[in-house]
Amino acid sequence: VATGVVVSLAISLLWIVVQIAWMHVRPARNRFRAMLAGFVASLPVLVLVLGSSPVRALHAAHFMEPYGVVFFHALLFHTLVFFCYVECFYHVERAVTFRMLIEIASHPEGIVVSDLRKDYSVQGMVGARMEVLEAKGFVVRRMHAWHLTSKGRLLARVMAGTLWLYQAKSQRDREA
Amino acid sequence: MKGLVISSALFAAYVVSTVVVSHFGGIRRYGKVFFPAVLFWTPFYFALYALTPADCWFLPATWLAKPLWLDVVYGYVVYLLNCHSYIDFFFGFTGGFSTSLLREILASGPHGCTTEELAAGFLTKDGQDKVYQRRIPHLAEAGMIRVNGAEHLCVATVKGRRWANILSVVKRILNLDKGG
Repeated sequence: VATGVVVSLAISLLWIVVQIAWMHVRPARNRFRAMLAGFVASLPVLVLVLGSSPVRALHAAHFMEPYGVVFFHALLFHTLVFFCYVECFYHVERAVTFRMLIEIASHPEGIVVSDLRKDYSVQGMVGARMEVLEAKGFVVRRMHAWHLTSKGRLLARVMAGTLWLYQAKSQRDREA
Repeated sequence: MKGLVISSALFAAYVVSTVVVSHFGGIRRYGKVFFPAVLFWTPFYFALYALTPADCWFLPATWLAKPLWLDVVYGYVVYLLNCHSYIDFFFGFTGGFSTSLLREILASGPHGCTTEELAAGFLTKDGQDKVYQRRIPHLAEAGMIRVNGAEHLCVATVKGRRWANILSVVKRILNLDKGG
């Protein structure tokens, strides 16, 4: 466990730092694809480091676990850290509540809700989000109306199934 | 490896329990179920780790991790990471703004929806928008803002300003625009 976790944490940290730096140099249009590419590119590095003689020797000197188990723990932990990073990224990027809080805090004297709405209207939110969904291939616009692509339809159906399973209401259907 | 085995069993129990409670419990605030449930199952992880044999009845002796504390912590961290992904999946799908728009377009059938029609779905019967009407009280409840007077003047509290600064810095580090 120790060898796998330490190596996977180090490689995760490395690719995340490289990824962030790269996004400043050349920002990607599709951030998820860029993160996925960074993760996939980090996998051979992980395997190389784990396979290197010094790491193997260090492991053999202190632990009895077979090296296959070490590889398994390293890959598992590396993948879980990747998921966590992607999820946290989208919490920061997409959260409407966070955006609202930043807007309110940028007015030290306060801001009335109607003014907040002017700067950040629901129509603006919907428009911006539809453009993102279009860029990601979930929707297409025909004659001013939005239509689902097969990918979008699949996601919408998964959502409907999830709502049933948890007996939940979508954001739109909820009462305030 | 034992930590991982127990962590996986516990995560399965967590998922099943949250599905059952959500489906039959008439839940209104899912966050009040999903987050406390992570803590609810935590003592079970440590109890199971302490009470089961070192090899968990099937693990080869060489697979048992040393030091023991690291295996315990590792299993628990994997449990937390899995719960985080699961909660994120739940809120992303059921509570997500984008997925709710996709569902609305699906319901509209072959005609599709215009941006105006989609935005109109986020208005309450009295013309207020649900996005603000729901979030402003939540921010006030969390102590991030104060809402003053009849005109609803929103002022960030010290805690709110601190969080807003942290979020702004993180957004800058990640090279993100306003988002939302």
